[in-house]
Amino acid sequence: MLELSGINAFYGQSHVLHDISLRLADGAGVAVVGLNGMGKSTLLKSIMGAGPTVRGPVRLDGQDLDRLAPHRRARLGLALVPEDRRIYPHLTVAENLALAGHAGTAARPPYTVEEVLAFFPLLRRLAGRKGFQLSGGEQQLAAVARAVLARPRFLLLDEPTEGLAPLIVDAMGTEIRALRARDGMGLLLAEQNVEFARACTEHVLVLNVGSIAFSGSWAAFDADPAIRDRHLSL
Amino acid sequence: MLSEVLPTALNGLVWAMSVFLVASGLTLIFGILHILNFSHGGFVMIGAYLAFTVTNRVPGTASVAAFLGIAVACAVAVGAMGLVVDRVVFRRLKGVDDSYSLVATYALLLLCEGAVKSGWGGNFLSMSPPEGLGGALFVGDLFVPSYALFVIAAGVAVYLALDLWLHRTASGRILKSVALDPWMASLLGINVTAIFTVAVVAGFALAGLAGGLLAPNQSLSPALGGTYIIQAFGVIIVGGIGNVRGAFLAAVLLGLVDAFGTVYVPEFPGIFFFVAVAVIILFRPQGLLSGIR
Repeated sequence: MLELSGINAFYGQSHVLHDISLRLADGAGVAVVGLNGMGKSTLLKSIMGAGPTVRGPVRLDGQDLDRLAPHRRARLGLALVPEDRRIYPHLTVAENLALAGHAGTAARPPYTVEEVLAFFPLLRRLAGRKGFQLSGGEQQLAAVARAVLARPRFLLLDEPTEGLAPLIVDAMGTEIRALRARDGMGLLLAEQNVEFARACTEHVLVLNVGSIAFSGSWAAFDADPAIRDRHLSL
Repeated sequence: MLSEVLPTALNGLVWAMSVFLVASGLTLIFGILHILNFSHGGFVMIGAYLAFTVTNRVPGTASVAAFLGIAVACAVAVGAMGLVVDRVVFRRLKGVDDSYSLVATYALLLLCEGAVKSGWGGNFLSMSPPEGLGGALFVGDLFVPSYALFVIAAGVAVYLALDLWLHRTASGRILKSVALDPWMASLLGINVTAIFTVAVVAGFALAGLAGGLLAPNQSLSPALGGTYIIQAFGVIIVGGIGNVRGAFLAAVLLGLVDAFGTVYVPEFPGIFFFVAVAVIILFRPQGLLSGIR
């Protein structure tokens, strides 16, 4: 269980997240939707302790993560794929994947690179290619695969479909659903692509200027078109 | 003609490898932590003084093997100082303005000078090379001091070891990844703080090693810390700051330019190093190679 109880997040003087509470049960999938600049990325980074100053408790199975550095949180089973992917250009795809093995533990051993390449067939032929030789979509796939290698309990994905070709978006959705089914992996997905988010998760949370404007099932979200009109249309 | 060129080239290479030995740790630390360590020369000096003391105090240390052993011991001792400096100083410099690291590492240099003054006094001291390296060889009809050849070999060996470490080993790959993107590395479960410590200790150990290896044929004085550091900075800037391979290339290039310049234009000794640095920076401000390599 990943649990946020009324957290506030700041970048310097600017107050980005306001009293966010969120419970993500093991294996649950929650989409965080909202327009650009509403705090989706900040929310994921706050959970990882990777950037913003956070006030308020972030707990994993009741353990307070506040004082833990990001690498400790990674070893507890959290994995964040940042929006800008950050594939290492000097390493091959296989080497990039292998790096995530550092987040593995004896209790939760990481997958091997081979196993992860089997989950992501599109990546297999790219395994020996260096990061700087990949297209944006290939980098995105590699970044998700890298996070999966650590066998995370909760995968935090930040806008994985941004700028991707529809075919790759479909492939990614299939992989993510398969992984969730296989591992019981929890997913917190920040997305602007509502269709993709709906296909990958059960619950949805709408962020508006750093506050939760809606939280519930996709059915409840669909039942009230005003939410979509108000918070997701430009 | 050849009899003129060869000794000059040799001088240039000795200078180059001496400076590279000093510059290697400096550029390694910058490459990974992005801290320009002004005290680096101070720790090279401490390494040299330690070597001086051990060699003079401990009997039976006149052999080449003992000399190398002492240099390695200096590397370990100064590396341990690096551990303390990392804890006490460098960790506090993360995420603050560069001017703070300038002030902090300059203060460390002053501390090194003060420590040397109070430990060894302000007089000039000197030590000779070990017995096996005190003589000279004749290569053809060229007279070559063995110690000069030794310094060249030591510089090349240190370069090869570093290059191999950074490019061919798993820990080198991690070091490079942390240098490029520490934030992402931490998300992948890598303890970035520990990797920074490894880099600092390695950089300081290189300073200690340089001090131990270069102590002979050197006037040891509390000003030694500043002697090599100007050249070392020139070399790492020309090489591409943070880049070990670049520093090696730059050291050789600048060493040869300076040596030949001084022979052919003896009116301006020592000016060619600075002219070459200025010209190269003018055309390649990022240095010969860039990024950590």
